[in-house]
Amino acid sequence: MIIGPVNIPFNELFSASRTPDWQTILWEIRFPKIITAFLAGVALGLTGLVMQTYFNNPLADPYILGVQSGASLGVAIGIMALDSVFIFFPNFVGQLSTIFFASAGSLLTLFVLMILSRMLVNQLILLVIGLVFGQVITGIISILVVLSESNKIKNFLLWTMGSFQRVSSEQIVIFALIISIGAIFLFYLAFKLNLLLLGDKYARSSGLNVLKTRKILLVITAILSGTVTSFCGPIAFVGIISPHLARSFLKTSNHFVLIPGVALLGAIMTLASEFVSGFMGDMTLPINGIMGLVGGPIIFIILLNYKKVYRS
Amino acid sequence: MMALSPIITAKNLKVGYGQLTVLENINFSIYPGDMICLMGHNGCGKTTILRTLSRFLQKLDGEIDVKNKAIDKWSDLDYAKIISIVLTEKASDTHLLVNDLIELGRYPYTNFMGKLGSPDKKIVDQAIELLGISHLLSKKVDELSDGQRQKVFIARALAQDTNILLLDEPTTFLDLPGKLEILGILKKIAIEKKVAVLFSSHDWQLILELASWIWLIDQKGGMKAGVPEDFIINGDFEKCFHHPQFVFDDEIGIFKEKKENEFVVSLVGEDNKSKIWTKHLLRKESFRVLECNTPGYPVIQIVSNNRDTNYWEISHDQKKIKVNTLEDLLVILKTEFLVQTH
Repeated sequence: MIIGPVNIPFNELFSASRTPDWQTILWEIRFPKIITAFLAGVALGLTGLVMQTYFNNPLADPYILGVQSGASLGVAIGIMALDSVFIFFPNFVGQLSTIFFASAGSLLTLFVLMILSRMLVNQLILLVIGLVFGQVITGIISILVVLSESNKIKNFLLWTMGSFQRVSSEQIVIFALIISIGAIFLFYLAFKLNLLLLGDKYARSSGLNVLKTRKILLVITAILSGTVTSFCGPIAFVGIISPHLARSFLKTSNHFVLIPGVALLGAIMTLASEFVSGFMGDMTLPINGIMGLVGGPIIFIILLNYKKVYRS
Repeated sequence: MMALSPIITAKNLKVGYGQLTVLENINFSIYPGDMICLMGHNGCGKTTILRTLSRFLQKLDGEIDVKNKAIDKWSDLDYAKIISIVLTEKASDTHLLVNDLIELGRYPYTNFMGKLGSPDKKIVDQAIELLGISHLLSKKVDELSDGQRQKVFIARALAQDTNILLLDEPTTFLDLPGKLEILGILKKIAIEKKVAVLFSSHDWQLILELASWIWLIDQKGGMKAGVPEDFIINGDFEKCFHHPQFVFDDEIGIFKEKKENEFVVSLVGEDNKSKIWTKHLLRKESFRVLECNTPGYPVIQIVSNNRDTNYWEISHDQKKIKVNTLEDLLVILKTEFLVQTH
């Protein structure tokens, strides 16, 4: 909280109420930013974990498979189609509609991926399809952006760079509520997620209603990633890296252990990148820039380690 | 003894995939404590039957009653308390701890959180003990050998505490001791736990030794249940695995390559270990072995001095050669004595 374009000494942190400017900076800008980063990290980590289990693919994550692009498309369409809603109710209803459109976009993408993954034998192809899918959606969005009025374009483009800054302290309540409910639901599904690790046949023969479980997981994942995307824009790599780090630190893929672990690691990742982005004095670096520089190499390491898994 | 009632009864069952019928007119009953091996050539429908019983496939026609109720009337959760499975394909995730994996078998008995109570833990412990895998509990599944993995998945199925255990080729990837160990464990499960064990296998020489009951699927798509030895005597076994290049030797129960030219020898001597293995070698090398002194063919006389040392004497047409090992016997026989029959 002490780092940013305006430096606030640490010992003043708790007495900051004395100066109104600092108080505003702390409670209106920095505190929401940190909470946002924390929540986004939790949600992104969890969606990555669920998608890796769901698609039985260690490299699945909402960014790579185009789910966040789907959310962006949802938002873009929402902004264009329901312009008036966003203008007349800029805060509450507007935010809820954005979340709704983003979640719907995510859900649609996930649904298509689910159908495709059933038709595929090789799960590696799913990754390629996800990438292509993401590009197609990005293409559609860019056309929409060009077609829309120019003053919206800048906001939209800024949004796609990823940021934890746009969430106000009122919006944070909605954000926190959705993410915590989603996380709690996932924790309750931990045993079922463990069963899915064995594959659908084992899961079914153990009495699990696989189809229903998969539907529930799809909806939760869509809402979590849609919400994060609508508040912060698409954020790369957290979803893929934090489950891997959690698995190698905790040495298990038991979801009872992994879910809290992944939530924590995801939060650490986003908080760290937020910390770095605010560290540059007057400039604030885009989150995805930092994620790309740090996350990319980590993914290379993961890929090299997973070589043996794909060989077998 | 009180008459047991069957867990599963199938009448006029027809199984297959959609339009494609794989097997029809199948009738069987499975009783508690049965150990049944499903046998037949590749693609004959073993897996189709197992999949139909696991409800991964719908039956095409006929009836299957499970505990006096039609198979499709059971809920997934209740059915999971009757039948557990062990598949051939490796489970996708490899980072799960062995202990966590076995505990997954308790899913049908736990509440929505999946918390295991002490009765659940007890059943898990019993399964671990029966399989003898307590030293593996803290390992990850991908650190296990094929045999260990097979045991862990059997333990998981046992923890599910069902009446029937279905296994699709549980011995396929294992070496000989591994195969024997798994088959021994299955027999123990059937006898001690009174669980009916139905499994498919190609290791039929081991099955001949261990299984008291097999279901044999013949090449015409019919299925017969019975004792393996009966099938050998009445020739069903050979019909079932019939292959133009191989013939079934129904005296020792192995298939061997059909040879165009067959050589005949007589084998005489005391009935002992040497004679058994001499005969074994000669059969393997496609000789027809006559066990009496028949004129016109080479005679192999086993001469035993005492229990451990003996030698072989080959005689034919005034020629007589003495050898000390079967290796030499074979060479001499092939180079000096071959008589061809037509």
